[in-house]
Amino acid sequence: MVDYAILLIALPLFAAFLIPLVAMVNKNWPKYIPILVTAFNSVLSINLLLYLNAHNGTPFIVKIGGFIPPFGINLFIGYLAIILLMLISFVGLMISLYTINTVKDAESRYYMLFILLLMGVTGLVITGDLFNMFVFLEITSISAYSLTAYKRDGLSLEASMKYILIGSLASVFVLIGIGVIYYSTHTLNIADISNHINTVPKYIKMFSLSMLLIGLAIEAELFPVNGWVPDVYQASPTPVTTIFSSIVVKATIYVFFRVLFTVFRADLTVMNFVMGLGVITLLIGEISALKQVNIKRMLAYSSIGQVGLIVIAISSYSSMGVAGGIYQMINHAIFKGILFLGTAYMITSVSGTGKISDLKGIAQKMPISSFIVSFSIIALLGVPPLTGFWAKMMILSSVMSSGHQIIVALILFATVVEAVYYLKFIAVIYDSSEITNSFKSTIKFNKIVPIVLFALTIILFSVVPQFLVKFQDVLLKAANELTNVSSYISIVLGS
Amino acid sequence: MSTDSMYRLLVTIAVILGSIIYGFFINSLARRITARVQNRMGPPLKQPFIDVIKLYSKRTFVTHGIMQTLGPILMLTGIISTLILIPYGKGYLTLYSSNGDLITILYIMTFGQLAMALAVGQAGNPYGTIGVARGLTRMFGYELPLILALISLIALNHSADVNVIIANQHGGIANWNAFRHPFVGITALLAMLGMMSYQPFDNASAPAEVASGPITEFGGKFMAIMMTTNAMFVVAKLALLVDLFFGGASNIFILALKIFLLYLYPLFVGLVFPRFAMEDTFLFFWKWPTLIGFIGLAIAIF
Amino acid sequence: MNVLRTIALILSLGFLSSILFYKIRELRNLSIIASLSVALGFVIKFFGIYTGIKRAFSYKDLFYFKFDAFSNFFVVLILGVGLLAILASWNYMKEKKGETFFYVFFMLTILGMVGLVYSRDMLSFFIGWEVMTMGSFLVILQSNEKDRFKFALRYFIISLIGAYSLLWSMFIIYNKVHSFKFSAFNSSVFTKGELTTLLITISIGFLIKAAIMPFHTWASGAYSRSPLTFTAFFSGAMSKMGIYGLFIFLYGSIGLSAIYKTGYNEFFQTSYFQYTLVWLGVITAFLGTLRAILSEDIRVMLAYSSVGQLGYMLIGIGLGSTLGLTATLFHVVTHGLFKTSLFIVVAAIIHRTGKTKFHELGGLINNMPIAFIATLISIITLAGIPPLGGFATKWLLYEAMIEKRMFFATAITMLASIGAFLYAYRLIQNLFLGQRKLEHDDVKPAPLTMQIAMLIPALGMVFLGFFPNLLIKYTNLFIELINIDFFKLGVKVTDTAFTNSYGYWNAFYLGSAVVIIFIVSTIYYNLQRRAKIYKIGQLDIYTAGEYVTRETPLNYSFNFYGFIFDSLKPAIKYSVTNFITRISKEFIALSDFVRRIYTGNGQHYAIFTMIFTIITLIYFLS
Repeated sequence: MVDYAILLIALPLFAAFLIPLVAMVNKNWPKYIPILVTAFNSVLSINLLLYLNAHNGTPFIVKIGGFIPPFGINLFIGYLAIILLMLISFVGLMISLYTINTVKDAESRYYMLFILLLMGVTGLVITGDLFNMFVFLEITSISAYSLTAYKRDGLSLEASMKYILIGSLASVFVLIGIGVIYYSTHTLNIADISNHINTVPKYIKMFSLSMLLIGLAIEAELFPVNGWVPDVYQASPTPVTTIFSSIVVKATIYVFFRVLFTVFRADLTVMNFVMGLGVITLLIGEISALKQVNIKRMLAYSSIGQVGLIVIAISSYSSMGVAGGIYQMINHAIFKGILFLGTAYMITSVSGTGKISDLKGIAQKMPISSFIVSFSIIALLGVPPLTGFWAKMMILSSVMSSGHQIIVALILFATVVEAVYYLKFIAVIYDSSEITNSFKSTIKFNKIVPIVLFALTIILFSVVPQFLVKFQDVLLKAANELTNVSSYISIVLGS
Repeated sequence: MSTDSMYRLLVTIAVILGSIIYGFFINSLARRITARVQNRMGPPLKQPFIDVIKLYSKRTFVTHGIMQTLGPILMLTGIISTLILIPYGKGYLTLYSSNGDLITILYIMTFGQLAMALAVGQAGNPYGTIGVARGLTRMFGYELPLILALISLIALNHSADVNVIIANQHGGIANWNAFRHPFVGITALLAMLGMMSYQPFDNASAPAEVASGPITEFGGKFMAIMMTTNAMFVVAKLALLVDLFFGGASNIFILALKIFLLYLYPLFVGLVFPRFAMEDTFLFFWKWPTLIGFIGLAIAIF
Repeated sequence: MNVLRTIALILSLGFLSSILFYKIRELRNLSIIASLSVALGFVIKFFGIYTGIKRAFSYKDLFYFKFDAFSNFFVVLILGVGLLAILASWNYMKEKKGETFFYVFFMLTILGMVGLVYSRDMLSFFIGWEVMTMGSFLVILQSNEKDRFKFALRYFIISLIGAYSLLWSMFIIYNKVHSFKFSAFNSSVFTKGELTTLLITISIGFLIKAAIMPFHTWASGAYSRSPLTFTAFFSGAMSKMGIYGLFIFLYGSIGLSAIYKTGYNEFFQTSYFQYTLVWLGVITAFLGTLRAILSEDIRVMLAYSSVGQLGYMLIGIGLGSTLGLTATLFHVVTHGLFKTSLFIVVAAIIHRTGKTKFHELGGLINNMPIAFIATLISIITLAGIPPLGGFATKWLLYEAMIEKRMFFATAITMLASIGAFLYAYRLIQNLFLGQRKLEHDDVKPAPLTMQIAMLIPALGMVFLGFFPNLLIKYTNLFIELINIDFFKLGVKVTDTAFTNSYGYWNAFYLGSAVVIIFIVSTIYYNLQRRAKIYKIGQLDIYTAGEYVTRETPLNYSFNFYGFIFDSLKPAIKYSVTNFITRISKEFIALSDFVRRIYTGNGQHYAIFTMIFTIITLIYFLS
């Protein structure tokens, strides 16, 4: 039995509330708790993967409290959920490692919010209940608001304020959407709603779809409702930014498409609309990044662009496209992990204000991190045979086969723009003139280790072909879990 | 060696020697004519021969380096190689023209010029180098109409073979390319002004302006070889133009006559016009001759 | 044993050793050179022999490689030029900043190129293509030039645009024929318009790599800012990859009949697309030459020269006839030889003197005699003067163009080659001849490895001048291999004599005649009574009263062809480079405008949300 899967949520929740108690015993202990929790979750998700492999890869449900699905809350765990879980726990583990001694005056509540954020995200990707989803979304959002404001300077408070403003709008929209759907179908279980969605009058269905789409688009950073993103990314402590970019947005994209694909059985009109959103998000994000002077802001816009790419891929609705989108999610989580953590490490070493020009010539002093950052940029740009290339291949081929030649051209164009600003950044860090800023040469292993591990992951994904081939099968199965509604229903509700 | 190739070799050597003598002869004649136009007596006809023999017999000479010594020899090589690819009549007088067509001739012509340019460079005289630069610029100018004219000929005759072009002009003056295809003929004649380096396009040697241009630093034997090759080159160029545009020649005397008559044309033009500035020279060739050349080529193609 | 695996293994070992021994100069260089030469020997050994050895290699029906004469031709070029460049780098890069990674990325570039040349499917071709671009981009960064990043970036971005143009067409093809294999292309599933689009997008990808105008803007910067021994490879071998790509895509994959389907012109016996390619080549040859004539920097001049020379190759590709393709392949070899030699010479000069401008140099003939000989042979080949190898290309190309009745194009091309003579002369005059500067009295000869690397191609050029038929034998071999649909018109090669319907040329006889005449002239010259030769310095010259000292040598080298510059001044100020620079500036301005959508004001974001809500509701509820 796999009922222990509930521990994925329960243990972090327990750990989060344990932190104040631990802090009372020893002030230094709380910072190790996120590491333990994420490590535990990593082990657990690997365990689930093994279980899934042993059972022909058929997704399974976990009934909470033993209630049968339409009446109780259930978790839905397949390859897709496990990929995301592993991503969350792995990236979470890396960031927890990195966080030690990073955030100034990190108190116990910082770690508490941190774990809560991870917990919310974990819940989002495995729950099978719409309202439960909303609850996890709120947990994620509220811990995110607080973490954004954690530095308590003007910038972060302002950003947090904007985030709350827009985020609460999102909550309202989501809640209205869920309310309408509950009113017409009298159920909150995703599979059950999906079973009954065709009996709902079209305009009610469409209204509820629009509401949920708007609300989730805000969380998933889609243009034009992603105004909060650059500010929040810039103002948050770097580990938090990394979590936003690598994990939170991935989970919300998952939710976005789970709702569209499974709950509403969205058709081509909806998907074309979403793809349009994706294209605009991609273009605006990449073009805006071109002239940024602040490194975190540049990476934020780049994240927006990448979100656009993932959304385009998944909204192409073909199994190859969705698989490519999921692949790109993984890639992007790793790349952005390296980029945010690596550049933050560099910035703290020169005690800069976060401007790109502060990092001039840093490569002479920090060769390893500079090399890894540049390497991940090159992989992100999709230079073959690195991992970014394979994901892009899958995405492009599926978008092309769905007949959108122009969109393929636009994606490629956006990649060129992306190459411009990223390579300019490499140009700055590899500038051979003298470093003007004061440089503190302290090698911190807890900062180097996550970056190196991330880089090893890239190499694993890039140059081990046997692994790649197997991985592609897994991706296709994961894509199938997202797009195949009838199998979802039959697994949850029984045939 | 078969008798056939033996004869051909002998004829070739005769033509080479003949072209030297004839080149000096028409050069000297030209000087006389120029003098008469300018109301002078001019030097006697044997003057160039006396000059060159005197220069050859000089014993002591100076050199600035290896290329100055090698240059004139290479130049001689280049000019003779050009000479033997041009047909001077029928039979053995076609020399070795079956080893290269018009394009080959056009390219091998530059061999001698490169050799001279190298020798000039080694001498280290800036006037010489200026002369070379001017000469090359002028070449860049006049080659455009010249090429247009030659390409028109190739298009019209469906062949780049000089012998075929000559054969196609058989049957009277009206069949000569210069008259049958007036635009092509005019283009070639205008380009020829640049080729022959008489006034108004004598910028390269430009007496008194850049000393004597390329030959500034050359005396003694170098000078002698340069004069010799120059005489050969004049004959070679004119013979080629006669072959291409004025019906070729059935025997060597008619060819000699045609060469002389053709030689008078740049001479007289040069007597009337003063020297052009370098920029004007360059642009002159890329303007009217080129335009006419394009028209000629268009007519030739369509 | 699979011959492809072996070659891949040998080269990968070289690559790995460049990483492993990146600090130990001798070991690293020797292992790289060993790996390249073993691979080269291997390819040459099995060049045309296939029996007993598996020559194809495929993986999961996705990656497909083939070992045949067509690829081997280019691989020999890549490995040969690469070997020479690495040999020259031994001294050139010695103790320079970036020496260590130079070799790593150089080997990466070579690996990518060999991969793409052997590939017979678009996916592996593209991978090789990108590895090559990335590798060369990284090599450029290893130079010591201050502005290298600017030009490297320009190179990479423009290359990326080209590569993506290619990728886009690849997907269009894949979408229709469901295979990446070159041989799987089936023109019947495409409409005329689609085929035209495909041809254009594919060509853009390759024209950019070949630096054909108007896609050449990266070339002068990237060529001149790379470590110069790499530029020898860059220009000598890598730029040919664009030509190779056009070959394999246009004639090996899409096929001539499909190209004809897009619009055939009876008069020129070619399609409009190919006709455009020819004219692009002609314009590139001419304008590239013109820019080269007007350059004051040696490296920039050679860069523009490369641009121009690639134009000739494109013309041959565009003609699409056997004669034209032969001309292109021949020029691929000769250009590879003389550009390698010239760039290594220039590298040696810059290495020894540190000067990069023409007017800062001069009179080096006595210091660097070997370099002088290599340059002389190279420029004779470059200008296409018989009897050296360069003339064969010119002859083949003009005959091919005349055969297709493209007379205007022929005229401009011929003029361009005359122009090549102009700038080639500067190379020898302003570097080696003229008066030497005082500070250059003690300049040492080029380092040994560089002398070897510059002389080997020179020998090749002389050899090709006398026996062009030996190369033609191979080009014919693989023009048959890529299955050109028609063999109506061709060049007959009997021994060293070339004949086609328009003209003839016998390389060996002509070359021999020149040699014999040279020997006879020399004998004649020396037969006369030997006179005492006084060697006098370059100060003992006629100067028209000017006072010349060693401190103030009189050289005519700055603004050498000022006349041409003055004459064409009104036209020269328009350049594609300026145009592209302006476009990129405008685009950055646009990005600044777009960036302002994120105003930073929370209320605006709320309004955006509301507008988005309305739009969404209208879209879904209507």
